[in-house]
Amino acid sequence: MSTGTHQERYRAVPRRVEWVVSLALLALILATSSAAAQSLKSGWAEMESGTESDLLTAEAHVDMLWAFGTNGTMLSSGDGGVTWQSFDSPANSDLIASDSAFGALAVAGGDGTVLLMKEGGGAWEDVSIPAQMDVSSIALTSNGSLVAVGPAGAIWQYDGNAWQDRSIGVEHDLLSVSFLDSENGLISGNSGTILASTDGGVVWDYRDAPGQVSSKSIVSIDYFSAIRAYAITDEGHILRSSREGSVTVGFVWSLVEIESHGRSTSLGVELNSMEVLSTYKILFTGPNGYLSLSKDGGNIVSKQMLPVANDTNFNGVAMIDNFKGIAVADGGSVLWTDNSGEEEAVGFQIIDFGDFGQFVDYSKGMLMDGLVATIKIVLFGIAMGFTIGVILSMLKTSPTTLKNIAQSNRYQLAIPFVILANALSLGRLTTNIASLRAKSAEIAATRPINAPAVKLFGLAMMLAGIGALLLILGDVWALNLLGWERIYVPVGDSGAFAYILLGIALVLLGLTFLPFNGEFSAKEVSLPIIPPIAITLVFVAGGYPLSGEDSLVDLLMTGSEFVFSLTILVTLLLLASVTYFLGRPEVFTLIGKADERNLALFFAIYEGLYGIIIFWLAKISGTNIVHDLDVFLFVTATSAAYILGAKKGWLNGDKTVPCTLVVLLTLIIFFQKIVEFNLMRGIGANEESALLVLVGTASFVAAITSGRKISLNPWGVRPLNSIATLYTDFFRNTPLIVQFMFIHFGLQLGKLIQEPGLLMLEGQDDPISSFLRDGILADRAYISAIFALGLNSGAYQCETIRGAIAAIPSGQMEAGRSIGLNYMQTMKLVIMPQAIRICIPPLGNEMVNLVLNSSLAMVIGYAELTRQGKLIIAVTFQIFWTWGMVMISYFIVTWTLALILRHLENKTRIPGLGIGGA
Amino acid sequence: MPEAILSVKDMEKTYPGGVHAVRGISFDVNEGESVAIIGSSGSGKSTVLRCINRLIEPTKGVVRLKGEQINTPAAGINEVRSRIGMVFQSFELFAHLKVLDNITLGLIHVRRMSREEANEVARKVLDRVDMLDRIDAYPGNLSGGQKQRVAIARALAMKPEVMLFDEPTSALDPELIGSVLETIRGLADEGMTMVVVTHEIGFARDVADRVIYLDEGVVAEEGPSSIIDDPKTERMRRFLSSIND
Repeated sequence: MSTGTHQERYRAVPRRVEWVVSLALLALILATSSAAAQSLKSGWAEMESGTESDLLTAEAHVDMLWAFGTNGTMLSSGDGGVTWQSFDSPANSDLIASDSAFGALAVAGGDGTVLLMKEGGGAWEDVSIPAQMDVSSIALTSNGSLVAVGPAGAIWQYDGNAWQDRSIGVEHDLLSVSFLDSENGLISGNSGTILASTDGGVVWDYRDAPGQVSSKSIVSIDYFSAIRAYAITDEGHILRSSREGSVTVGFVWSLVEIESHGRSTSLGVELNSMEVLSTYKILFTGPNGYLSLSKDGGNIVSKQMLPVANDTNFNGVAMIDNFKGIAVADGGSVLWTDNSGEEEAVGFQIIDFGDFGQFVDYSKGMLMDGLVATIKIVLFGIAMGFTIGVILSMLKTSPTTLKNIAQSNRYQLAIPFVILANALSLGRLTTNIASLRAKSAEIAATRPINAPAVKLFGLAMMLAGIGALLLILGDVWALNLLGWERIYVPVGDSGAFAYILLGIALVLLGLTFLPFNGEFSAKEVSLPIIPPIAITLVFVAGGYPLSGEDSLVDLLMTGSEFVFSLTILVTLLLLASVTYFLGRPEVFTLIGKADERNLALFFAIYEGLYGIIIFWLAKISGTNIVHDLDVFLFVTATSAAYILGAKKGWLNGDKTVPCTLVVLLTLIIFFQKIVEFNLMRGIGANEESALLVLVGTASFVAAITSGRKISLNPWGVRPLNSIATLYTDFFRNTPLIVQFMFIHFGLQLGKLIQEPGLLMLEGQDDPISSFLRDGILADRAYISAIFALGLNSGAYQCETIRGAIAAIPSGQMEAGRSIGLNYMQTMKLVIMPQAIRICIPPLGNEMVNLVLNSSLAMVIGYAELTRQGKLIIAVTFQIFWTWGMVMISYFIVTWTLALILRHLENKTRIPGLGIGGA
Repeated sequence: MPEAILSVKDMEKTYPGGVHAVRGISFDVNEGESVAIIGSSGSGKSTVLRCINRLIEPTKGVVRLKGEQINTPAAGINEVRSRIGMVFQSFELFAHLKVLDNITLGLIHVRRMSREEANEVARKVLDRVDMLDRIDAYPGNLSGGQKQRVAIARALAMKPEVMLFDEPTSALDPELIGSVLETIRGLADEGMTMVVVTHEIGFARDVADRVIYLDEGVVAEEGPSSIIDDPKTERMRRFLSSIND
């Protein structure tokens, strides 16, 4: 049977149906294009100019706006650009350039035409250049003097009487000239030409343009202020020059990295003019309907909405002030704005977009960027998640128990130290590890485990653990948390929390090692042993004041109370050993039958002893006896209840009336801490007694359940499993969105990785480093997003892969091992190849989840698809269209992914295996 | 007396939970001998077999292979297992690999042969079990008997010192049993040391040199294969008659 038929036969939904559904969705979205919506109006309004000639330049002069165009067209407006009148023009050539300064207005164009309107005058003075060159640009250096530039490096200066040739032999066409004042000016031209003059245009010197634009046409330059000059190229580069210390503007030019265009140095569109409104506010124009505004010196450039057709060629902008002005274009088109062209929200109105096409045109760039950004994090997330998933699943299915480690591998525990010692030399490292392994195997073979050594080790660990706990509890107490608030300790003091975990781990391990007698058998433990130890720890950890103001821990920490501290330590040890011995049946034979009642009795005595010791501790710490008397009374009362209960056989049975009473009382006291219900305070109880009653009750419960044996198998603990489980528990029990925010804003992982990473890669230019530096490390949110997605997905994928591994019959592992493969080899060669095939469908599910969950990266400011959608809506208010387009984009991505996975599944199908196999 | 290839002494196995599967079993297997272990279900047959190559760890007892004890933590378990061949009741072929690769997996990764050498050995051993014509097939496309023969070939390729068979024909259709038993008989004739746990009493009688009858975790009767026709103990007699009915 050919495998080709698989796809056709087992397709759940016929291909035709899928296509119909997709087309229907698309049609639905497109059909409802002119929905009523909150919308934006273009910041520009089309004004009647009265001409159809191309308008090539515009200028604001005194209280008038002027527009000039082909064949000497001149228009003027006295009302800020709303209505226009044609001016009788003395010129016939195309008027290309204009300038307004020092109260004068100058316009120039083809054949050397230069017209000047001095201040106040209403007439044009003809000051054309005798050389009759086509003037590209003109600048006033005073009321009556000008500088003009043209093709082939032509520079002409007019001093009020005559034109002088000031060219310095530049070969290239000069395209733009701008003067700050009477002295300082800049010229720009083809092939990256920049010239500067400091004497009003007589002498010109070269300036260096950034290498990237050394072959481009710098079509416009503006010497805006003493601290800022801008220039643009016809390919959309924005150049900026600032005053650097004592170096004047115009010397040092840099290319603006335009953040809104992915940090590119080019806008990617053709520009033909710019109008600088302030140090940071610039309007750009270009052919094909391009008008854009930047309010931060070119960092973010936003294309503006237009009320006219998309392909109007804009030629220039003239602004009266920072907000009001006009833009002129071919075909006599004049647009007016009083908001520097920015879109205005106009409330509930029918959209002004013109059509869906224009909206798509406007938004598609941002959506594409978002889609690319989404795909970037998804790919990394999948890779990282899969890798982590495989590693974790191997850890979770590892059969190595504590017993195995002790028996065969104990010397291999030194490997981490070997790694540290040999971190710099890889060769030495591998040989050392190999020899350590060999030695470990040899020792496992020849020397049996030294039981007393293990016991001693256990004792040492337990002491170290208790010590660590006691030491760190001061820090915990310093957090000023009360009772249940202590669940937040991991965040309040992570170091202390780690220490606590370490301490508990050491104590538990110590307790495991301590009773070692050469055998690794499971133990059967009577339950009463555990609560007292736990209670002791809780009591100490709680740090509740034993008496007076200071807590037990506090007293312990005081150096001058050395003897006291030692006493407490000894007491605790005593208690621990007493509880240990309590579990041994031999002890009970001393008092008769070793049955449950006697156990309960013993327990009651033990608890009384406990109370007495506490009473004594309180006494020697010099506090109020009466204050603690009720403490003692409570303890005695519960002990009496035990004894009574034991004698009457009320324990271990259904007759738990006195127990219930005490439990209820304790609960009331406990809740008093949280809900401030002061019943006990009324009868003289306080914090300590509350805790001690709790202690008593817990012991009581233990007595009730005494005689129940549980089987503990501490040597069967699988440390690798535990590590993996810690990881997966954390990531699967917290929401992804919170993980994103925690990792990015809390841990600041992006910053933590970016800074050292960039430092390491500085100066390196090989492809990998460049890719890492510009592609990955450039954006902090990107780094955080990859990690949040990858780490989270890894936890889920681990469970999937583990499930797949578990689905492989155990016989496969047996078969592999019986031919001599070790565990890892069998996993790699036999189990995993089969497991991976099984887990492709559920992993596919997980990957689709990953793609869709990537939308959560929005909360950390990563510019992925959903965030771009939000931004578009914020600007355009087209909610339905935008989200519709976003949904379609996600659908396409996940559908493609699903197709790929389906293909993968078919390709890796094992003949003869599974339902539906050949 | 030549030293036994395989020696099991006082083996006991108690599963956690309290089941005493094996309660003290000792037997030896000499070179070239084929031993059949028979008994009813739950008598501990499979457990004993799995304890020999340590797929299950015996709670007590000593297992020696060629004189060396192999059930200590010291013994290199993987190396030991590569010297013992095992054939399972459920075949346990590697389903994602072709028949050829099933055989060569162990040769390449455990015996560290080159691919060409491994292929050579694989061909020879497949020819011996008469499966050379299906060398490029996937296990999923083979019948039960064919799969078991490939499994035998897989174990044989490692040139084991002793072969263990865990109810090799129990999962097969009656028509297919014959071919597998033929193969095993061939191996016995060639002098392979083997321990076969089986329900095929006829096979045990005809092919095995010795028969061990297990009942409730102990050796109830042991002796040459003639004891099948002439059981010495009542228990075995009852067992055999219950099968024959």
